[in-house]
Amino acid sequence: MVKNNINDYSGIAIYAEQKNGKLHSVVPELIGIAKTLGKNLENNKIKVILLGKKIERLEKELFSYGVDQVLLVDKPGLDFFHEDSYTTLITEIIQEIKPEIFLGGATNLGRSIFPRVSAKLLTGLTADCTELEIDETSKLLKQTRPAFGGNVMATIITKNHRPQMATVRPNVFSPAIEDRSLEGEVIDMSYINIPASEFELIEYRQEVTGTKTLEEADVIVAVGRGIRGADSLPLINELTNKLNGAVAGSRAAVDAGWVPYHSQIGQTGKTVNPGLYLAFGISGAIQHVIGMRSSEVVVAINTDPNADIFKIADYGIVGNLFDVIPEMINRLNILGGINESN
Amino acid sequence: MKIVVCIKQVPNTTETKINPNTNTFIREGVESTINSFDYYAIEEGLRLKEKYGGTVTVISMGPPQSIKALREALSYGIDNAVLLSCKQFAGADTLATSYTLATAIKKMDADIILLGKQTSDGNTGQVGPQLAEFLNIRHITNICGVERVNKGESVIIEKLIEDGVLVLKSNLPIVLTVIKDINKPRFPTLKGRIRAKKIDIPIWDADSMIFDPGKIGINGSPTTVQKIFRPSNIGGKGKIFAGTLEENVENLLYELRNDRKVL
Amino acid sequence: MKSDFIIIGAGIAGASAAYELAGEGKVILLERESWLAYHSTGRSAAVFMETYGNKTVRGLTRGSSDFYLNPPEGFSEVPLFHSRGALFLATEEQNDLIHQQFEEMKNDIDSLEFIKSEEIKKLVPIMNNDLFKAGIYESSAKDLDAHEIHQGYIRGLNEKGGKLVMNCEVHSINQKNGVWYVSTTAGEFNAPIIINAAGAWADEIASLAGVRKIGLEAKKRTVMYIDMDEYNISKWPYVGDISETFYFKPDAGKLFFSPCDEIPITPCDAKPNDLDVAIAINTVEIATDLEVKSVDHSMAGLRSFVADRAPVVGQDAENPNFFWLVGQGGYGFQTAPALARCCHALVTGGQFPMDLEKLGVDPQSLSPNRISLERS
Repeated sequence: MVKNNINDYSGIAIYAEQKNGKLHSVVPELIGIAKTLGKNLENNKIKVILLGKKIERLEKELFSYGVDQVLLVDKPGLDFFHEDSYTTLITEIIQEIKPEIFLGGATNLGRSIFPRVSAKLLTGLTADCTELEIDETSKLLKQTRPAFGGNVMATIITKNHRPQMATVRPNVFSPAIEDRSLEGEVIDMSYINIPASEFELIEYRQEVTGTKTLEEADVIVAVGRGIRGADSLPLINELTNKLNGAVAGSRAAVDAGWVPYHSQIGQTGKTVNPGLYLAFGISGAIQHVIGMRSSEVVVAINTDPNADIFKIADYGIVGNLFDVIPEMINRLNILGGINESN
Repeated sequence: MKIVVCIKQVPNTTETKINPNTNTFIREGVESTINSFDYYAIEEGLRLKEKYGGTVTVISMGPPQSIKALREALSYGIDNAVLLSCKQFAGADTLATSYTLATAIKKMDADIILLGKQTSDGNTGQVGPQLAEFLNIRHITNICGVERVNKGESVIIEKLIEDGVLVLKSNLPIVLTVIKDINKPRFPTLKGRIRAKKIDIPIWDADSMIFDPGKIGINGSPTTVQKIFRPSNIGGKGKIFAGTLEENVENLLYELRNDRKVL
Repeated sequence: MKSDFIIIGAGIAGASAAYELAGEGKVILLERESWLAYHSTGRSAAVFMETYGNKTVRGLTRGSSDFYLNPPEGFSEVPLFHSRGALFLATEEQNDLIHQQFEEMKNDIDSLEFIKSEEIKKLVPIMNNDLFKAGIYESSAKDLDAHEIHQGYIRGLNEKGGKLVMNCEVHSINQKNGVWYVSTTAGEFNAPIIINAAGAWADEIASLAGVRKIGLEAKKRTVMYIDMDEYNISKWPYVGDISETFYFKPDAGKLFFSPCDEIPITPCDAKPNDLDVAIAINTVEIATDLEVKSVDHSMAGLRSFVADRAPVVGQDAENPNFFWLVGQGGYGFQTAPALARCCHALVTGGQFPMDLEKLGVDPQSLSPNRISLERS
């Protein structure tokens, strides 16, 4: 394999995903980690690639996070689903600016276009990184990510190829702090010609809130034996609606008829990995845990302090869910509802 | 219509054991299986064949034991199978794997190439798009439905995105990566298994066609694994709130919202 | 760590024995895995049927009924039994056999009914009526809440001062001056008495202790879950045929089905093999009107038997401080309370439970030294 001359590559590039003129929440987080990495790099300049149509005001926002340059391509034919056009453009830009590190979000879009770009550039890509670090001696980017469904972590390096590409999961790194006084340089690259996208949009079915399936839900409220009976459901539903989540159950809850069959989580039910999994009155038998342990954050509420669920929970309250849930609803009302993440 | 499905044989385990001395996986006593997402790709391939006619070929790159996965795929009704296996292919990351698969698939004149969204061991989801790049054809990921194929020309698919479903039209040939629940995979019949036993599965190695030796195996892998380790949160590093009810709920919600950003 | 009893294996057998013995002294219960009920205990069909198994098993089952119906105070907050009913079917060729079985058991079990082909269809609409002509219905058959029962025993053990140690793989077992020294990945333990409740791995443990193997054989059984959206199956009984070539029962909205295979296998984390699942599908399609296009999940579990297929409880003749509690086959849950009481009596040298003797269970029929075991 022809190795790129790695000495030609320096600085950090970031792909700023946007949709309908709004930056994805992962972008400030990418900038945040890029700044941290920059502290250990000779060239710590951050360049951001921004593509789309009618997206001018986003440059100001990007500069407020503290980036040096925004490489802008703003023209028709660059809707968010024109992924093929995006990958061609990004490749050309990267070939021109030659960053040693290129970061993007491990979003739906990121997981599609970053591998494609890495193949065009014949370089290494590590997806879904949860840790990024510059190695003291080698100055290589150490990219750490989960494997085997989260059971194991792997640290990966791209030794001889550039740029070192990595995608990062949203909500893992802290966002850079905004400072509206900051400025930067806009490089308009709209002159780059790219062939029209081969994808034609037939329909865009945006979902109605509240119809999320368990696999898509960001928040799952799961109930077990501890809820005692179907009478507890209105309370569970009230909390779930407040959290914009979906209700699920352990096998016992499903067997008792409290939760529909297709909402069973576990070895003989569904496997889910939402951002937040709240387990109410679930003891945590392995047959259940197998279905939910790769959830990002697990909260357990159970009266039994020895319940196995606490072994895998990130947060726990030893208490009665009939007390905890009303208090949660109360607090959430005071805090003023949930911010919808994009 | 010519359909190709790429599959991978992976360890069949929910519990991974690491040898603490060498930092590698303990593979003894661990059975293998077809990667779970690939079952959906196989099923989709079979459905497309049933609807539009043609053939379905399944291909995999892996160690010789991977032939077991291909044999299983055949038992579902797949027409033929190919295994890419040799020492030179080993140690490949996703880029080298994609290049190797692409070189073989180039010979097959495929209209639609199907893959599962990701593997249960690597979890990267990178091979689909990278494979498409080496084949120089289109790709779309996260497919939750194939609405229609206009034979030999174009396809209308449904792609699942964060806030809904995109219905897109694209010309063929194309690489599609499918998500779970796009369909309900069938199970092999006894007849299918008997038939599968009789089908010859050719094994192609580095000499079977023209491979650029710098692009296969370890040589073709820009990324290397420096180390593997267990994440510290297995075994419960959980925080138990031990104050009053009001304090516990307040602190919990605060951390969920501000520290973990899941609320 | 020093104790009075070491019990190896925290499945339903070890846990229930530990619970019973906890009143007699310090009990340490050792479990190899990092999660409870990972193997057979967590894969149980969890049925309670007095007609199931050989004479000894049936006696032990009847002797366990009371514990499940009226568990001790504080054992569990929910009922351990749920009514299910069980239907055993016979083909025309098996007509004599089913009549014979009915005669044998009807005096012991009140709720048995002989039923004919039209009634079968009423109870379970999907059965193949051309095939099955007669059946025995055990209306008192129950579902057991396996998880609650196991947890109840573990909680009870803790409350009585016993200790459960997880992630504890045994390396070596040595005996010195009447004390067993057990070396494990979770530390060193010693006690005068060991109870071997290691399930499928029991003979491996025996070998480590220098005790002659009991001749246990682990047999894998395949189970699959079939989606049953078009039917409301929650009230269907357990259904099986009298020659045990299949059974099924409702489980959380799906049909839990097994071809009753018994595949000899070395003890392991049992996984289903797709050929066995294909065979299972074939069996469903013969026995019922169902057309199985796809299967929701499949899994496998181990059922371990000794030569005469009755459990083994008691003191080893050659090693008087080594006790066995193994070979429960597919009956582990339905016999657990009775077996635990037997174990307690035999370990402490106390009075063997009289109620069990009246039901045809005695120390000789359970003994590790009985001839029918054909121990080599």
